[in-house]
Amino acid sequence: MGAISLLEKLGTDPSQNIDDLTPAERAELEQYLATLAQEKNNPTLSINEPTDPDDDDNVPSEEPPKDA
Amino acid sequence: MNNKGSLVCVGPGMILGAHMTERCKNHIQQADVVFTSCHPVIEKWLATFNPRTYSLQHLYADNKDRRNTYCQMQDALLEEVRNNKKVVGVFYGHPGVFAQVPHYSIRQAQEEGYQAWMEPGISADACLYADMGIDPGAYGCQQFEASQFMFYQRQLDPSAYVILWQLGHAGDLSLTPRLTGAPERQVLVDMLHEYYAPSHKVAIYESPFLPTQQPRIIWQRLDELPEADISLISTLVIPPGRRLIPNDEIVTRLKSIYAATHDKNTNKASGL
Repeated sequence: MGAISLLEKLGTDPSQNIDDLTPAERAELEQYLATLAQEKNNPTLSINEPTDPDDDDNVPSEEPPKDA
Repeated sequence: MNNKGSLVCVGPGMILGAHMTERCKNHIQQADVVFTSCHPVIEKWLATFNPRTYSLQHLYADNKDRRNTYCQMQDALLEEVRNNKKVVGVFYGHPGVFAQVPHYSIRQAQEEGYQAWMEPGISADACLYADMGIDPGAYGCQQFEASQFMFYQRQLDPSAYVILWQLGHAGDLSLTPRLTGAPERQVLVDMLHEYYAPSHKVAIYESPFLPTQQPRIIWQRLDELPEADISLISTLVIPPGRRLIPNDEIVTRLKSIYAATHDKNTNKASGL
């Protein structure tokens, strides 16, 4: 079983943890996890600018009308 | 126009294997093409469901404006939709939470006459509530993107929980993927001192993305935040710093409404 499959198994089965793996599986997984530190990841996917360029229709651009 | 193409944006949740719904998995398996912007190990896992899975992460670059990166991601999704493909975009966590590309892509596809929609996923805030034992209904919860909170004049309610997302980019004017540093965070702390004491305890939270990891929750004083160990996935959690103040005027009004309604119902029941 590959490292990704082992991670999937640990993620889907709440009764399993890394201590339940066989020594060979654990070694394979730990070796893979050690390589992850080298992987580059860009986790952010939203931007806010100091001047608002967004014309999002969900955002009211004016004050709500006041009762007469 | 032959608008057979479609776009659905889904989220596999935060933790590999633990959070993805069957519906999300089915979307991925049934897609003509899958684009992802997730951690590389999550992307490798997603590729096991559909060999036509392509990462969008290569569109980032160190000094590249993220607006360009996100436009290119959007273009990649839309190009395949226009080729009449069934396209699935997979964005970590929930595809609609702090993720501009899915929202913009869906809107554009719909404007061009294609079917496009979003399926929810387990987001970082859902994990935060579970990992930190916070009920947003207990005191209320305000959430802001950290830079937006700094760039615009916002009003905090210090009697509620306050969550500031994308702390690693707080105060960033470059719009590149760079981490900002202690000087920018000091500005943020100075802003927060308007509402909280310097000694107020705040937490830096990071959700795990692998089942072998634990959440990272670091408690410290607010005035220690500038020197804290921050990453691009760090979130600032500020517990309430003031008690809730009763709104006596509104409660009095509501009591009179209740009393009138209650009397009316009692009279009806008794046949008066």
